[in-house]
Amino acid sequence: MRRVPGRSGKNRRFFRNYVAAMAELCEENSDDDRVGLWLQIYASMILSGLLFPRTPYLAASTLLHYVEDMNAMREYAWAEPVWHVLVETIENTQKKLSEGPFSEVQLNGFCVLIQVMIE
Amino acid sequence: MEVRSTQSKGSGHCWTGGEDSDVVLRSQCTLKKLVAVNTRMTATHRAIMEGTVLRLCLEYCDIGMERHLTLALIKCWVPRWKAFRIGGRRVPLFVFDVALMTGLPAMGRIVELDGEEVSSEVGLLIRGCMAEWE
Repeated sequence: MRRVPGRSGKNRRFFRNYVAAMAELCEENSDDDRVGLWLQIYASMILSGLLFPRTPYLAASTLLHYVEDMNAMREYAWAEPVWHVLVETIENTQKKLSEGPFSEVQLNGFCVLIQVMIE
Repeated sequence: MEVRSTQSKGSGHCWTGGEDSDVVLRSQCTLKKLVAVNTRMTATHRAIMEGTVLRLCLEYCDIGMERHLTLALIKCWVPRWKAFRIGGRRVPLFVFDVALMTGLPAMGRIVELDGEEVSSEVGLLIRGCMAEWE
């Protein structure tokens, strides 16, 4: 990821990752008359940054439409996909580590849950 | 989030090989940032959040990843069991465990993780914020 030449400015802010962008958007839309939008941004940050994080540069764009109706969001079994992504990252990481020496391994999902469960 | 492990090879029950000393574990999980946003939240925003399915996210604590524990547990995972093997015992990880830990519902409609991307206001805002980068 690199900055587009010629589009920078002293007063502009740039975001290297979507979570920083969402946190900023939460701040920008924190007025009481924009609570609906604020709630959608905050919920998006939870989905993309906490429950289903995959890369630092790409929000979980296929999930963003779920936050458009927060009432309908409660109808879904959210624990199941969180479990699925967590198990997937455990198994992928285990497989990768067994295949050879790696200096760095990327964990996806809400991976701190692994240790919370045991503790 | 970045953690470094200096744990030696072979300490896990199910570990079958591979050098993992000095492995850096990277995670994009942004619990710390979420907790920081929560602490700055106004009473109005908190009240609105408490009426949603994500309300228990307000109670999350900033738990750092413990590198040795995480790596050891990954090694102890038995894929066919969907469980950890710890001290000769099977410790399964169920969807309901995730529901208990996160406060999210375990029952309901299926979430399509890889569904079709739909244009949304929030998506456009995020893309706008990040438009200066490629």
